[in-house]
Amino acid sequence: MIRFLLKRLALTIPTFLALMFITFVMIRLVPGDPVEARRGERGISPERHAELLHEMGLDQPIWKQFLDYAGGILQGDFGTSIVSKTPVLHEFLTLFPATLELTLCAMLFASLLGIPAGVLAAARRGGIYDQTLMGVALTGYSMPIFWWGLILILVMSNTLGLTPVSGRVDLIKYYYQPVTGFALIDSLLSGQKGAFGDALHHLILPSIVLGTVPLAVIARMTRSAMLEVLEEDYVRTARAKGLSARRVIGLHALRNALIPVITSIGLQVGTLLAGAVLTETIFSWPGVGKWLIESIGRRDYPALQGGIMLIAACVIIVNLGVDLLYGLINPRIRHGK
Amino acid sequence: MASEALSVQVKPPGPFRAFWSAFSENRGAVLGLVVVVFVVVVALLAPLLAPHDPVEQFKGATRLPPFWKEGADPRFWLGTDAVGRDMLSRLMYGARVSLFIGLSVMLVSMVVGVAMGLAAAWFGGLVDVIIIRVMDLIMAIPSLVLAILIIAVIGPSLTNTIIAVTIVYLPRYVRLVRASALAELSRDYVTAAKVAGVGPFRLMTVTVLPNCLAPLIVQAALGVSDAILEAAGLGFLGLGAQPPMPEWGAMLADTRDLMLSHPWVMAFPGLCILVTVMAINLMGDGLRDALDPRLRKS
Amino acid sequence: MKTRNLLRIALLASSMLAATAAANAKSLVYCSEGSPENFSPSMNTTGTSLDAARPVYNKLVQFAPGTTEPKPALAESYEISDGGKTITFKLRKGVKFHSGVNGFTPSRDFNADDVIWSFDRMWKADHPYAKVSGGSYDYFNDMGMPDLLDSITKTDDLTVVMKLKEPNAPIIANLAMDFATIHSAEYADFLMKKGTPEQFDQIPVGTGSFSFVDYQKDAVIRFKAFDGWAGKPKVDDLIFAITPDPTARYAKLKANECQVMIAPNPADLEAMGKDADINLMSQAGLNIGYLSMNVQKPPFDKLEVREAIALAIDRDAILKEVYQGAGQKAKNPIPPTMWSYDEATVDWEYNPEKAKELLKKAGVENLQTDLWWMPVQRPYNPNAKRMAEMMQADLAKVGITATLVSYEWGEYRKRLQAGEHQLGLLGWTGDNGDPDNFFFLAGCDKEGKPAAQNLSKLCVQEFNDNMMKARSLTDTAERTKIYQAMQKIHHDNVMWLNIAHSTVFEPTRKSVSGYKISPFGAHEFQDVDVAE
Repeated sequence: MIRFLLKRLALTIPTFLALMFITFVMIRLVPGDPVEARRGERGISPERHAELLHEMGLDQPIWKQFLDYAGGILQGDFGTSIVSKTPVLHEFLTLFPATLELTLCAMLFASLLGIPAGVLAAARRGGIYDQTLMGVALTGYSMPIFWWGLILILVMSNTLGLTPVSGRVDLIKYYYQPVTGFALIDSLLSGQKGAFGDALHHLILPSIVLGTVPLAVIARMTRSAMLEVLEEDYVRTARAKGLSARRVIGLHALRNALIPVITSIGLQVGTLLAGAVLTETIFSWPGVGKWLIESIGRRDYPALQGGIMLIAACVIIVNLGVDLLYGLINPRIRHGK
Repeated sequence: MASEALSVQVKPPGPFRAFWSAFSENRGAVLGLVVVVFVVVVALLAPLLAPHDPVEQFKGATRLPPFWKEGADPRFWLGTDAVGRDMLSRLMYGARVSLFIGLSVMLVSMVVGVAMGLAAAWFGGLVDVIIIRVMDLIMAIPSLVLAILIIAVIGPSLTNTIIAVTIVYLPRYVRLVRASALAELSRDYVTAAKVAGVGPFRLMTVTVLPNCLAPLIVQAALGVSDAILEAAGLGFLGLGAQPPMPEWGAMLADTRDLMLSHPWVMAFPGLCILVTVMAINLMGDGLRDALDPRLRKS
Repeated sequence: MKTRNLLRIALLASSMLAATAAANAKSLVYCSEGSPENFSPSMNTTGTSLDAARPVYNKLVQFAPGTTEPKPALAESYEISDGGKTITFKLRKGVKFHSGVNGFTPSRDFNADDVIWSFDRMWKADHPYAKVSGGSYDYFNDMGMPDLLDSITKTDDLTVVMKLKEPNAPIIANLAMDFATIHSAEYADFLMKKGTPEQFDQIPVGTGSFSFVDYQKDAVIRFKAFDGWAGKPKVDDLIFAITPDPTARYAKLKANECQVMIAPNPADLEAMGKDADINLMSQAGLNIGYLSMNVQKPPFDKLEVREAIALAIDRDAILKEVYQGAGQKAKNPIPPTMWSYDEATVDWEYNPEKAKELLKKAGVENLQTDLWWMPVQRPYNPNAKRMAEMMQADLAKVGITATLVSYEWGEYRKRLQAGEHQLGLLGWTGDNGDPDNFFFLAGCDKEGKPAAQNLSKLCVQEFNDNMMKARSLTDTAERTKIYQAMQKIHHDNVMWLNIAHSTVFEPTRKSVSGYKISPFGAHEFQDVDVAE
């Protein structure tokens, strides 16, 4: 087990180094530079421009910049944001909990609805439930989520007034400092009455938007996994033994069908973490996705570089975790490969 | 007696007929196909069907509502956008752009993906490691961030959108082809071909590749819809097709400031994306079920 | 160790919160556009960053709210002598700095050392804070201060003498700009001793009406009222809710999630005007949106061609569709609210036929050009892309084929300034209310080479001479005459095509009172009250 883990970890190191190198080069290939990007209409004289680039160390040959950067990374230093002048790691850790919280809530929403929907559809295969649910799932799967988010804001927040428009907390009623960075936990820690409900309230719409595609995937996946399991011998045996359909589905089939579903949920957490960009943009969510996009616009090289590496690291770790989990559940994988 | 009767019936139908009978069993897939054909026809015949030039601006006829709303102009069925261009015409031409992006991405990534996947499977060793590592790399970066970064480097345009989306989706094809090619390579018929002295290029393309085609075709169909979505996302962020080209995602972005005051302007491009993508996905599901029953699982 | 710290912070935070929540405080939420880069105005150029620091600080002189008129602030009075070369500031007595922010307790009141410290940081490379946080003092340099300043000295604790190398008419207005913010020298020393000088620009301490409480990137900035020299502000808590999307800001305003918002969508103005809960305030903006025509790229060196473009573009339609009425057509490079504005200028009419004739006369056929539009919303141009698309259609009608071009904002501006474009959209928002602050955009250097900000790359000798002359004068009547002549020259040479002066709209909830729109696009909350 430990060997398997170490081997997998060792394999990610070259990937990571290559990632660092390629993003480093690409970021510097983007036309423009951080000095120009933050200037207004007035512009800047070439001398002053050169001077500022020199101060940032951006006039050095790119290989030297890279070596400096790589040296820093080895010491756990991800550099300092050009725009805010704060360490990139610090900035990432400030924003990351918001993204993680949103991702987990979206996944929770998707799983809580998706799995029962899939089970129901499988149990009533070909029936009206099955067809409706799978139709809905397909719609969700095909949804352009930036549009979906706008429509939901329009209907839910603007027309019906059911949910807050954006942000994570009602700024007038509640004030608590980010201790963990998770609004749900911080609101509880703050001890303020109603703060938790308020934080939850703010999470609803973004979670639905971000959770729509995973919801569809999970529902489809659960359905097909269930169908497959239901055809297997032991389920037939259980049925033949006279167990009720509900028991068969609930006890025997579901447990086994869930294995691939859970794996897929885990893998999707990885992609969602990375893919929250559009949702965060639409809901003014203070997360890492929006930060990355803005960093491209501001040519904030260290923030962009560090952000990509840290997100990639998270994705890699989550995927590794899922693999491990899968290995635990299913020993064949561990020994086989 | 019975076996005789059977042997008469069991004259295997042609591969296309077999496929079609399996495909047409799936009502959803047929519906998807019908919609896709409709969208394709509209796209192809846009110059004939569209009531107006998609870039012509009608002064004094801006932000008109669609026909069922009060204040609509009979000239513009679905109303006009912020600078007075006919919405219906733009949507029709937009179908061209979106389908073009989807198909181009699919074709390019298929060709490149097949070449790289086969190369990885055949050469193994270092080539395999490099190709697979590069693909891992691409997959480790958030897809939209990677696409935006690529576009930031090469500049926003329709072609560059296609390039960026292709790079982002390449790993799927490469991994798929590599995995199925590896599986096929271990089979007896390949060994037989090798022994018979078939050259590596011919072996891979003529012997191995056709046997990996089924999952590849399914992936390609679904890849078209994914590419359309991704490109629309880029267009929404202002990084796709450049004005005045009527790309659906960009049309959405253009009208974002009208969201509260003129919501319908926003509704149509989004609906078009949704319906088109959904139809392709329906069709893709049908293809998968018909072509490769083993894949039904996922 | 770490967890214990966390726990401590948690306990601390929760006890603090209980206290704030208990008092029934009056809060004002302002929906702002983005996260500030830092809280030191001397290093920033964006309105977003300057807005975020302004509640905390004061300057020697400040623009009276809602006007372009500099009024004494931390300086009780000032006196100009020596033919405009010496300014003597008499400082206000007994001005307190915020106490308790970031563990800092001031031991003394504001005095001349703080003034000198603040200017020296931007000016002197050997200042201990000169290099802290990157040390780029853009505005100080852009306003030409290093060339202008001779010395800043203190005569006593409450008197500062500023000597200039040459007389400069706009200097007092310049000192009312945010870069001239006065910091606490004692706080700077305190942080230096603590070994965390970079916190100086992250956790601000000043003399302003609000003291800094907390900032969470991309989410919120909190301030609380400070009972300082200017009196206690009317609200207890000032909160900036960072909301980049204008539609979301409007929705939040409607839901009373914020009470004041920046930069509404032009398309939403009509509905805002009708909303019974919203007070839609407006004021003519101190800005100009223009189309530059690069004379280094033929045929735009021909006056007829520039005239033809001016005639071919239907600016009324642009006003209607792009600004949606929130602006007025511009005929001069300076806005009508500014002194010296020339009413007599005869604007270009929309006349495509005449434009075609002029093009023919100039011998220009099938003209292919590019047309650049900026990728961002600016105060003077709410939607450059839409504007460019409309211009493209207008130009097509007179036989000019325009290709639309855009780059990322910084890159865009850089390339325009390098003169890579043929036709390019840009604009300007005034910094200090002086006409020179607009005319310099079309200026050239002493050798007659166009300055970087001169996007048309056109040097008109007479225009330039006049500009230099007006700068050295202090008499407003004389300067007015010169500036009016310059407006005529600008128009006759089509030095650029004036498009519009946008109107600044600021919607607030009806419950808000005392809010004034700043002509500079600043957002100030000192006098603002909110009804429960």
